[in-house]
Amino acid sequence: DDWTGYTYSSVSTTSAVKGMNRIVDRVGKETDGELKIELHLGKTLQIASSDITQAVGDGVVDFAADFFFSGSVPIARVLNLPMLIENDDEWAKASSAMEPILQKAFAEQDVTLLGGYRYPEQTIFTTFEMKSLGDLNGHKIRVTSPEQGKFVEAFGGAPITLAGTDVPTALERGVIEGVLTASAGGAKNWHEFLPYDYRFPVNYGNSMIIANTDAFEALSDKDQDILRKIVSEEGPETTAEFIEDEKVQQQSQADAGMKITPLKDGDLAMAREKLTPFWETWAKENGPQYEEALKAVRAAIGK
Amino acid sequence: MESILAFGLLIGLIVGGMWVQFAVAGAGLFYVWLMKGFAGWKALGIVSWGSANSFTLAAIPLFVLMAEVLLGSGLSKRLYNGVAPFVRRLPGGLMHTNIAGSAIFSAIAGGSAPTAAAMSTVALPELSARGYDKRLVAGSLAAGGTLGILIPPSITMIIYATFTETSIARLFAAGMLPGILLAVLYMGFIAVRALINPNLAPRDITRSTWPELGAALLDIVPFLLLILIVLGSIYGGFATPTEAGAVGVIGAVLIAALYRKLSVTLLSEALRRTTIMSGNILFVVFTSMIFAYATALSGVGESLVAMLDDANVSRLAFLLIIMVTFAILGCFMEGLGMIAIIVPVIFPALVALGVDPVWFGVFVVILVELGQLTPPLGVILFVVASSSKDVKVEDVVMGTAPFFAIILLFMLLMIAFPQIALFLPSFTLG
Amino acid sequence: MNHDSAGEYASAGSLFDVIAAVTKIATAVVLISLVLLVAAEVISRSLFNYSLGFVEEVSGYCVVMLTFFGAAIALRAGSLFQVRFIIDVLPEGLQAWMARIFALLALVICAVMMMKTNDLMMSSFTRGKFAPTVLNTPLWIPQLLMPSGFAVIGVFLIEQFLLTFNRFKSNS
Ligand code: NA
Ligand code: NA
Repeated sequence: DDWTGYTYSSVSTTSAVKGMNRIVDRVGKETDGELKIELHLGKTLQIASSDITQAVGDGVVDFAADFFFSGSVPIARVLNLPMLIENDDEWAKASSAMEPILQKAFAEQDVTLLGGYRYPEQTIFTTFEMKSLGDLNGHKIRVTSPEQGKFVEAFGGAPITLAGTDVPTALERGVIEGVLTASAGGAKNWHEFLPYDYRFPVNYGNSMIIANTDAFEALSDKDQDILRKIVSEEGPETTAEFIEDEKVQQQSQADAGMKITPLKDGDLAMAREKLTPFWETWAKENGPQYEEALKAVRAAIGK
Repeated sequence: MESILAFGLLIGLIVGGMWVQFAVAGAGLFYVWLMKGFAGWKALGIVSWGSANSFTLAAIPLFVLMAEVLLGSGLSKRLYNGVAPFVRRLPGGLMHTNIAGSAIFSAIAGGSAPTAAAMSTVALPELSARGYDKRLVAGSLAAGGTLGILIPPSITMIIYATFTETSIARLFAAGMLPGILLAVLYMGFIAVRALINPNLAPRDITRSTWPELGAALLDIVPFLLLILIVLGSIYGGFATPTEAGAVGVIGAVLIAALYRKLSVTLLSEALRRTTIMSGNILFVVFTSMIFAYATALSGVGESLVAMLDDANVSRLAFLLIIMVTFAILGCFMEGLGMIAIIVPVIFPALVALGVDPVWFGVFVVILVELGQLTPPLGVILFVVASSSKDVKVEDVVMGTAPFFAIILLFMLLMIAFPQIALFLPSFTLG
Repeated sequence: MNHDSAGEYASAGSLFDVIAAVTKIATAVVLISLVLLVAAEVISRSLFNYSLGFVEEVSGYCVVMLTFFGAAIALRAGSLFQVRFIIDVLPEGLQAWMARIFALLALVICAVMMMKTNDLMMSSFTRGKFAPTVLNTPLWIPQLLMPSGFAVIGVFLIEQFLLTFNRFKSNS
């Protein structure tokens, strides 16, 4: 089988794309060429990042790394609620609690969820100095989801939605004064406009590795197993590389003069307390399935 | 092979006279069918949505509307009259007004056609009546018009940015200095021509009086104000380049109101013309993206990179090849479509050769300018020719030829000194 | 390229005129809304430090509207880009035939695009897909603009086809 592969990321040097390339290479070799995947980088196919789940479900693309799935599989956003998951350990527990729910939600979109990888925690990068969350007050911060918007609002900041291409110049000119991202993610491209990083973990971003269900089931059982196995190995490997890269990037950003402020004592607990009611109203607004998913996650991490 | 067939059909349909948009879409559909059969067409829906649903492209109707409000309110005549007293005593006389006026109008308008239209409708009747050489006048107006897409804001740059993910603000800053330099070169050429052959332009030796200059300045002020509003909103951190278009529309409407030119007729006519013009442009960009999807799927861009790699083509040779390609295609293709079709194919190769994407954006914009000046399909030629009954397209073509040569020389200058484009963005944006 | 100023287009009947009039009003309303929306965002963000949060999303939908319905109007106004240097020197009879073939070919392309964009709209509808923004817009609604836009373009292509026969010609 010849598959069309796609990833939202357009930077070939990022751990995300390197990981996808490893998968594609290994699949070709280990299935003895029975399955070949041609990987296209983000934006090249004129398919919007937020349409990847649908593109895979409709069979336009057979295999993809999918980061912006929340419009198609909104229940997955539980994992991205601000302050719900604060560290690697909690992430591991929460994501295994969500696993069956996600499998089912993606299956409803005619998509087979094979695995995934995760970015390092998103922290607050700003053009002004931040010593604690209180310093967000009155500042314009770019957000990429309504949930992040809630977080910024909770501390008196102004959440701004803005196209990605506009971000560097918007930072430079003061249209926005900060972004929420990882050192190994967006900050890699924008660091020259961001003199400050407050290491407050707002949330994690993760990407699903998915396949079109019909295409996947058309594979021989053996090839299905090979593909599943490769993804289950390379997904965590990509996560590990991201964590490694986060340290490297953070160091090089510090060397380049970025002021990195460590997490202030008490900020985590204070923010958690402030946003806990939001998780519940969020789940309630979205329906009983969401409430159950949230309950499962909270039980798994003991919050 | 598929690529050659698809590009062949594309060029055949365009030259054969089909609507460019449908030629591009048809060739794109054919291209996908060649590679994936009819099943490949199921991607068209999601690709269409990904292509058309774009915030960045909102700048196009906005900047077109702003220019239409100014044109409709007759403010361009005011600009022309305002610039004249400052430059008419130079050798070449009022012809310098064409260039200087175009440069100022360019700083508001996003495109070349509105710039050329704004200046031509005022200048052509005026200058032919005073015994200026009509070819040189037409040439200076066409050349001035091309500044419209080089001096920011520029719709062409916005389209380049949507295909390459380059910062629009950087591109805008990069176009400024080349635009001003080109305007100076044009004016230098006019002065030299007029000194060699004084019959081309009657010398106006009346000295401008202070009150006259003051009144003239007052005529330019609304434009300077609008430039200040548009560029100020971008560089002052109030608006992104896209949003600045809306700021400009509001500014243009306010200025038209200030001069008591605002009316329902003016607005509805501006809206009508904007819908037609931006529908035309947006649809060509849209269909080109369908074609670009097919191009990306075929991997022809990667093959091109590999080919250049094997052939060991130097940066200079590659740029010259691009110049020739654009020059040939520019004879019969519309500029925006050219960008949309060519840039996605060659962009990976450029990156591989280490060409700065911002610099190349300016380079491509100047190539598009050239295309707008070459017959048989040269948008600017038609705009200038259609502004006066006495001027034929042939006159414009002949008059434009020397300016065409100036632009070519300027491109070589830009290859030799990339700082011409890159100095301002690195200076203003770090 | 045709720089019309009179605002009078060839018409193949009043049905086409009515569709064109409705399309024009709709695009004008969208264009005005676009200006006001974006300007409101700039003002609100600069003066009150408050982002409306939905302008980027809605502006994108406005662009979709202006792309397809604007193209339909441009087609009718005879303004769609066209390279005429060869076709103009052909004998009149052949010109009419080529115009007919081009109109039919464009109609086929338009029909394919209408079907495929309609499929996407239906896919988004059955999948319950929405924009992950503050508005939570169900995406089939803005996506409906695409098949309906192609439908209007198709209607005017039929008109262009009819206009190649003399007996359908009149002026709107
Ligand atoms: Na301009
Ligand atoms: Na041309």
